[in-house]
Amino acid sequence: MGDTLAANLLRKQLKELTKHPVDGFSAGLVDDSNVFEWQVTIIGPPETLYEGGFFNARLTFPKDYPNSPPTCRFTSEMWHPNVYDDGKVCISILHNPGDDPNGYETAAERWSPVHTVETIMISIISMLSSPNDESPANVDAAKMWRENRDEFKKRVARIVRKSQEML
Amino acid sequence: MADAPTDDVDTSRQPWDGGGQGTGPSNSAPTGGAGDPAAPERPSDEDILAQQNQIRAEQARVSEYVGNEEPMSALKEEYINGNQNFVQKIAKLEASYSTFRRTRGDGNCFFRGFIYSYLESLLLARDLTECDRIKSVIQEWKGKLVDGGFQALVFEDAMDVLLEQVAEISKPYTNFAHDKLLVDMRDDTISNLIVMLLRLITSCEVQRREDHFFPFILGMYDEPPATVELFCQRHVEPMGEESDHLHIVAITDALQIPVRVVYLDSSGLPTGGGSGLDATVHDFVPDSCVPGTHPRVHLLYRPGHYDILYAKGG
Repeated sequence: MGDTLAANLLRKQLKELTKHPVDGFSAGLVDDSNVFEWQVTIIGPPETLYEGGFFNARLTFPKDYPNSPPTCRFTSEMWHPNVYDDGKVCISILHNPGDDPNGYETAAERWSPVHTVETIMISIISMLSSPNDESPANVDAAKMWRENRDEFKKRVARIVRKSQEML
Repeated sequence: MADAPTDDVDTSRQPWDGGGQGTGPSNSAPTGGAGDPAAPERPSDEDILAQQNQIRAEQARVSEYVGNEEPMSALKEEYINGNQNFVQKIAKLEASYSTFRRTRGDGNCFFRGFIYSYLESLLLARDLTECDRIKSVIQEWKGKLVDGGFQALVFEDAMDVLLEQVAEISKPYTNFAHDKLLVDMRDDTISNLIVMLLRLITSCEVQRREDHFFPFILGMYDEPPATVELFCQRHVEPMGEESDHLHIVAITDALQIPVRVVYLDSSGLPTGGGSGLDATVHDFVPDSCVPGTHPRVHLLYRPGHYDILYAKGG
């Protein structure tokens, strides 16, 4: 019974997102036989450094979703203070309460079962718009964001171009 | 990482105690030990996390989400060599309560103990009027949750699971039905979905009555969340977040289920005999109930944890 409810919930979301796509991203399964592994494409939000980019990412859901959060990993090249070298996204809502490896402020919103693919993607899009350099996953990117904004812009422009070429 | 209090990794904790109010995020900031030159070196965040997970796994191995019924003497034994105030209070409780049932200390113990005890009381009493009432109350919450901004797909499976449980207990009592309720409430999926639903209803109730609840929230924290919504996102909706007085008020109001909580702690002067000490009792009776309505659910609170109590003759 365990994973059928999680699977059911994910299938419902897939159906809903296929019927009513949400601005800013597209989502589907990596492999139709596995509803726990999603492929998403995030459109670089307008009026940000990431505008014009198409960034692919994988969402991997645990069997006990929605009690535990999925992980999100960019497969496209990414340069952002809250994304690890290996592409893993580090934002507070993808962490369980108590699971606090990056020193979020206690007020930051954590994972709760109200989150869906849609609300997660909206959080990631908002992360692209406003990096949080207080608790960086990529220290070099955070440092560059803070101290050398021009260089940061150039670096991001490069990955935006790259993502367009990959289309 | 100011909010990983060392309390959380206190392995000397009682098996029933999965982390007390005192280890909750609200009280944790000052216990970080940062800036105290005499403090021993803190373990790394990864170490703390690994140890927390290990303790949780251990808990899961030694205690079910909902345990078996035990005599009150088992409770007393825990304190026999400890604080005698507990022993005295438990001795007095034995006049009103015959048995108790432990719940797992995973931060969800209030919600899980509350709903198990409620469903079980309906099953034992075969109270069909109450079954019908709670069924329609739950169904009404569907609309209220959607109005409150919760996506239907987030809670509709959980709601079906809870309504199924209500339907099951509306049938005539059998030992099998009683066992099935226990098995279901020990099942990761069923049990946690129901807890999740109760958390969402609690959150929605608190937000619907923002003006009523916000002053209490302000009083609960040194640095209170700026809005009721943030409070709910941080302290109500996530699984494993401890329940406070406010959560109990909200869920008992939302479902109109009166609850009695018996507070058992070490307070009081050790009298060393005489009439002994009484545990403090608090009834949560929703406004919609007739004053003096008898509580359906009895819970035992020890700092940081809720277990289920069985009233004599109930």
